[in-house]
Amino acid sequence: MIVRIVEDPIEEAEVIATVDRPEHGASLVFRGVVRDHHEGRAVSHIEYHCYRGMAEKELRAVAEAVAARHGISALAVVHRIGEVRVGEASLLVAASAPHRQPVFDAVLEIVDELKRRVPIWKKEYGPDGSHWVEGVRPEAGPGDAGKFPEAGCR
Amino acid sequence: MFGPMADEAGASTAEIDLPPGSRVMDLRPRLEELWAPLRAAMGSVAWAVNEEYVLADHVLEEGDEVALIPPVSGG
Repeated sequence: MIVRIVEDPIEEAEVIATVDRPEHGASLVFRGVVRDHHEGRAVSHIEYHCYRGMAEKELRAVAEAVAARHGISALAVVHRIGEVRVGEASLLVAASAPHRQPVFDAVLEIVDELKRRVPIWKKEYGPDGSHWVEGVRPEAGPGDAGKFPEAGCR
Repeated sequence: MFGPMADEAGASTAEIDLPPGSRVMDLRPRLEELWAPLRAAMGSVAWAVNEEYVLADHVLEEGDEVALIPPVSGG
């Protein structure tokens, strides 16, 4: 399993290739991409900030909990930080399994859960200046990972 | 302190001495004293100690790194 936070453009083909398995017939890739507008404002780029050590741990905890829940072993989650321009990927989640259902479920849950608890913040830039995007208050405690103690294994 | 909170405070870190047995919640008035503009945002933060989310009644140890985590917006 690959879980990474990177500053440079995500090496998408390389990351996706890590979930290829000859015995897996279902492979799914989610790309979170910076869009050119948000709440009626034009956006040129987003600057992602994070609490690096904790963000890496939380991202890994989310990925491991979801992977354990769906029996997924081929999984990659990469979040880019720093400046990301319109059309570029800020997030890549790739998973594969013998059949499709668990990969659809797992990929969606990873994206939802990381948005709820991984300490990453985005600041949007556009012709009208910059502003922080309103976020979600994380719940204290181990979150999803606590419900699936087996997910703690590396 | 991170993201919008660091911008508002104009700083990102501080060292604060507290008596033994202090809890995370005891930091709040000290931080508000230090950085008055944060008062409004304080109600919506989560707390982390040594890179793990904790509740406000978590008891602090010498040398702990406490982080104020404003609402997150990754993805």
